[in-house]
Amino acid sequence: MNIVKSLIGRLPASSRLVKLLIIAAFTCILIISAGQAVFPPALSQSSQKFVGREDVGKDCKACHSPIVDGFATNSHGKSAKFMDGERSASCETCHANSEKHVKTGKKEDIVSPAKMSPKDINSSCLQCHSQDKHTFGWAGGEHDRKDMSCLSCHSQHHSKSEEKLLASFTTEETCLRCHTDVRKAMHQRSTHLFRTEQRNMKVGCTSCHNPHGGEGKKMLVAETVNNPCYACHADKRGPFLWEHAPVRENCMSCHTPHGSNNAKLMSSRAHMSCQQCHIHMLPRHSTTAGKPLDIWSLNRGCVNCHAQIHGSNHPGGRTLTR
Amino acid sequence: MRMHTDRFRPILCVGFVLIACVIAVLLFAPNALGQAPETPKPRATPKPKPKQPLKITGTVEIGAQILETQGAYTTKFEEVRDVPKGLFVQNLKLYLESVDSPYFIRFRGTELRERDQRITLDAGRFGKYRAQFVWDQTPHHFGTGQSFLVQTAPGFYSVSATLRAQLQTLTLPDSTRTPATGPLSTLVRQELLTAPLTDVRLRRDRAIFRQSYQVSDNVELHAQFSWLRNRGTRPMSAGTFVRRNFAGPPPAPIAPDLGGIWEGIGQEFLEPIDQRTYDIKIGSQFHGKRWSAGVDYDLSLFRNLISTLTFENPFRTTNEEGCLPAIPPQTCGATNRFRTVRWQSDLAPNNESQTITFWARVNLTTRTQVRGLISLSQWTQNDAFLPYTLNTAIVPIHWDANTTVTNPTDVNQLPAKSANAKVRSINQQYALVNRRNTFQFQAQYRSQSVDNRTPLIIFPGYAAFGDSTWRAARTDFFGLPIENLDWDFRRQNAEAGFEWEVLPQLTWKVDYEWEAWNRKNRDVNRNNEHSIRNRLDFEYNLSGDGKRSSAAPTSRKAEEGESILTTLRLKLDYTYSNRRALAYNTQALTFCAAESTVLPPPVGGCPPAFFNNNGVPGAPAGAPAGSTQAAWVITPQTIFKLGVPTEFNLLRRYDQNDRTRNDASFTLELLRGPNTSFSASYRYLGDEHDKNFYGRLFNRSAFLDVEFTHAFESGAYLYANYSRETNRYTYRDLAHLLPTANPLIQGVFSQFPIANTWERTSRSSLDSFNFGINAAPQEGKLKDWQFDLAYAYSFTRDRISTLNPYAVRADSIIHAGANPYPDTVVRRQDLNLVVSRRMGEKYEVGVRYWYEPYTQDDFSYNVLQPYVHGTSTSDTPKYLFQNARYGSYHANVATVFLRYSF
Repeated sequence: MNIVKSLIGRLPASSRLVKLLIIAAFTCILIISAGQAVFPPALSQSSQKFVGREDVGKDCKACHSPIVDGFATNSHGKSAKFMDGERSASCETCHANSEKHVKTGKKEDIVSPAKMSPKDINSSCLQCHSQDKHTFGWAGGEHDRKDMSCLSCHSQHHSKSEEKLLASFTTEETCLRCHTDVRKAMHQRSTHLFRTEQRNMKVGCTSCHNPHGGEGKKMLVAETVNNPCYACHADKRGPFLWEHAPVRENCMSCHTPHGSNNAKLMSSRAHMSCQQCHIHMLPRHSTTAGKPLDIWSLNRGCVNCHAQIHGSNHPGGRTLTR
Repeated sequence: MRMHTDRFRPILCVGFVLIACVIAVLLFAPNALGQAPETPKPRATPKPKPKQPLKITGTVEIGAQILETQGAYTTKFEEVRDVPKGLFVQNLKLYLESVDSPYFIRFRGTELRERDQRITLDAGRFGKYRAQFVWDQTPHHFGTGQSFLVQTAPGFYSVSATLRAQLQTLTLPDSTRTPATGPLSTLVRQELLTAPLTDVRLRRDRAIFRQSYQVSDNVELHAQFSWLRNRGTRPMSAGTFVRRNFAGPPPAPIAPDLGGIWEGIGQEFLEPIDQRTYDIKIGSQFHGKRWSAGVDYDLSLFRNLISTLTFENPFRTTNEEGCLPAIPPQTCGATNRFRTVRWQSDLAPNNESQTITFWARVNLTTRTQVRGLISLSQWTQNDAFLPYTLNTAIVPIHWDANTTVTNPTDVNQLPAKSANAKVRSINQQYALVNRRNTFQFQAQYRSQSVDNRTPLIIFPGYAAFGDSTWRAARTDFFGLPIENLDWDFRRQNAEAGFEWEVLPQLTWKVDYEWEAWNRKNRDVNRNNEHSIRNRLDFEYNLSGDGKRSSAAPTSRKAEEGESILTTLRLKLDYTYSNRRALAYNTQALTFCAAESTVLPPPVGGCPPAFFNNNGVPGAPAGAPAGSTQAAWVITPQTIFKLGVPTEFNLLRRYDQNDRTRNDASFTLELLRGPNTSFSASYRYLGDEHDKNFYGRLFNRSAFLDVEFTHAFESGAYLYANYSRETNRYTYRDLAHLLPTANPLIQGVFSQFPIANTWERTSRSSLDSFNFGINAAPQEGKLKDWQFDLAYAYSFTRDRISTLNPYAVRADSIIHAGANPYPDTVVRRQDLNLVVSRRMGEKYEVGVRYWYEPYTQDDFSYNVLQPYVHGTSTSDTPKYLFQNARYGSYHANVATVFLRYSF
């Protein structure tokens, strides 16, 4: 505990610890990994699994050549080729009864996930994919309860993306197929879903949400609303000498995360956002209905003066002005 | 003690170099490239085919483009992106892999050498380990600012001494108005014409290195190091606060606002940003046949390399104290503000966060899962305090006879050297899920407990109002100590629900949720909210037997000969929530009823201003009995409670007060095979608060969304979407009287005359339309041509209206009454057309045209100028803005590109 305390409380003295932490952690994992690469497979423990099977989809290829060729290059095909046991996904893993189908050639003699119910599809996929923390909240989560299947977003044989076998070109396109109400955010005055010239998103859906069942409500990647925000906005994390309580509790007290008609992703215009909670007791600083050209309604509104609205560490920052 | 941030730089540099070396070893290890390994013989195949060696494949996409933007403020077009002119490399992919090798290296770069470039390098051995490096840049452009202030050192802005001397000479004494056409204002405007321009922009650079390693089939280790650099400038400001109206004997006449007295009530400057966030995550996960578990540790360090900001006051060369109480009281505090030579602000302090998370889940049976997660966090911050002020002229004892502070510029006179701030939090989550074929049940409990362990520090006062005066507990805060309060809270949430397949076509889902908040030092200490949600999902096969289609919705294409099913889905969803506050804490103000006829001195502390006859015997009644002349006031007898917000006692804050929420939605989906779909949905979300109080009264939103998609047999894909969102909210507020309208009230005083109530409503709408058609080569069709057209239209209007339900009192501050606000309109269109043609196996050429008109009409920004200056009758006080802002523009971009694949 002393180590931890010193790391937090006395940073200059702890710089060596930080250095050690960073370097030790990464080098350990990297060296172990690199060792696996450097050592000839014949000598390594895992070499037994490096079987390099040639027969993945051999019986299927005669009729389904493009599918089998594509399968061989994707992650499932590679698992069939280079891994054993539960971690190996061959054609038969998803398409049960294949032996009969090979003999008869009839469609109805083979199991096809695309024609199965969501529950059955998911059971099939989760046999292998239920062990990661990534799928921690899947069971009973929002998507599970909406009867979504893995194939609602992923496509084993007709994937359009290079990553994650997505049925659409990008993660965001995948999400927006159902969450059509969020699509508008891309064109709002302020938005997190901004796109580059090449239409790539910098802050995508999965920056904050985990579609497989996150740890927080709304399938958030973290347990609380604010934690995903701090990943990019750590300057707002504090703790500060003078805190603004609603900020600490929930960033969405004032902001709307996808897109807003107001500047800075504000739920309402800056000064009107403040006025809903502040009438103020001190006559020095009264709240008035105001006019459009008031200093309170110009530019950033109240934040023209209360610039440290997320918290202040200045002895004179009680009113979050500095 | 302030963190020596530069000490970290060599450490991290060393870390980076070391990591880079190890990656290099990993990547260039012979086995990784597939050169050395002696591949064992395949198990089953008697005679293996020759192995396919690792080979390099890739794509390079280069182009050239013309960009033209029109408009006075066109920055918005490149707000968070970089659209280069001339030659550019928009995509580069290099893959080294083989079907017969478990090793791979993948490099991807987009928008290379631009401000928003992204580079990804992936390498590893399939199923064993994977290393990933990501470099990502995001620009943020705010516009072009103009100011006297020039950054001469990190975090220090100076102004020409000559100019400051000239402006100080022209400064008028005390309460004399600085006219808009006066010598000072004229000189400011004249100098600003030649003041330096600054491109105000930030860039966020992020480097991420991830590594995972599969120790065995059941154990995985993973680590991630990310480095985030945020560098540049962004607008920020400091104000001296406005005080309305000039005082006179009550009832005072409406006089010009006091904003005109000062040379400048605020200064906008550019916050210098040079921040780093280091994040290290290390974790491990394990699993067995029926369980999995893991542990993760996360250390996040935020470092601000420019932790303070100081600027020179353009109007001052010598420090001066504000108007002292000894001078006629009605003018004090209103004049001589912002008379400090240098003003200083603390920027975001360095902070650290550590979190350790344990999680586990067990499948008790094939249908039942139990899982739990607990996460312990600690956040700390201990940056050294800055002095109260840099104004050496302030003498605190002039403002507070009891103060012990003699030199507010001395940090040794602060009650503490730093905040030593510490927050601990515990997050927990537990769930039980049982799923059967026609019935599902789940129960979940979540808890977020935040414990603020920052020591309480009582400050004797602080410099304020442009660092010209001294505020103290006794004089400015009703005697309440000026101390930091610990905002602890605990949020608990429990949910339980079931899902029952009533009919093959119909599923009924019911959920109950309880949420409780426990808060410390806020308006409400305990909230309980109960919600009940009902959902009905109906699915009908219109072309079959009417039963639910067993197949899951997928994006697969219809197979040849497959019968096309038409499916209808209807979803109804309704949630009712009711939140109640156990008690709403308010300060105990006194109600002065208008019908009282007590003569002065009033009993109970009610000041004469609130009585029918203004407290003057024989004077005419101010208002009829029972009228809105009544008010809530603070009197000399008012006893204030610590930890309760010093707010109007009838205010109810919307995040804590009683609330009823109705959330209803209806969705219709019509699917014709896997290729055609139509959906329409409507949702209403309404929050109703207690309308007998002040604050937000209601917030109601409605969403309508219609979408059609169709995938043609040729491989082309078409979509069209229209959505409309409307939002309406109203809040009730109240304006004070003139400072002198209530002379009997203690020190600082306050009065809340009901007559000055006002209500504001915002009605906003957003109409959005998207249309697109994409024809891409797919499975042998459309071999050579690719066509992509996308069009989006978005229109927003916000109508704001304000009304006074009663006649506003004559002795009120200016603008207490309702004034109209103009509508705010934002319109955006985005047309993007790409046509490309394949020129053989490896080459593809294309052209692109992109048109984006944007219109913004917003009163908050329309009138901004570097020196916003009011006239004697104007409401606009003087303010030195940077004028870096967004406005309307038209942008046209034409591009040609060449794609080469190998």
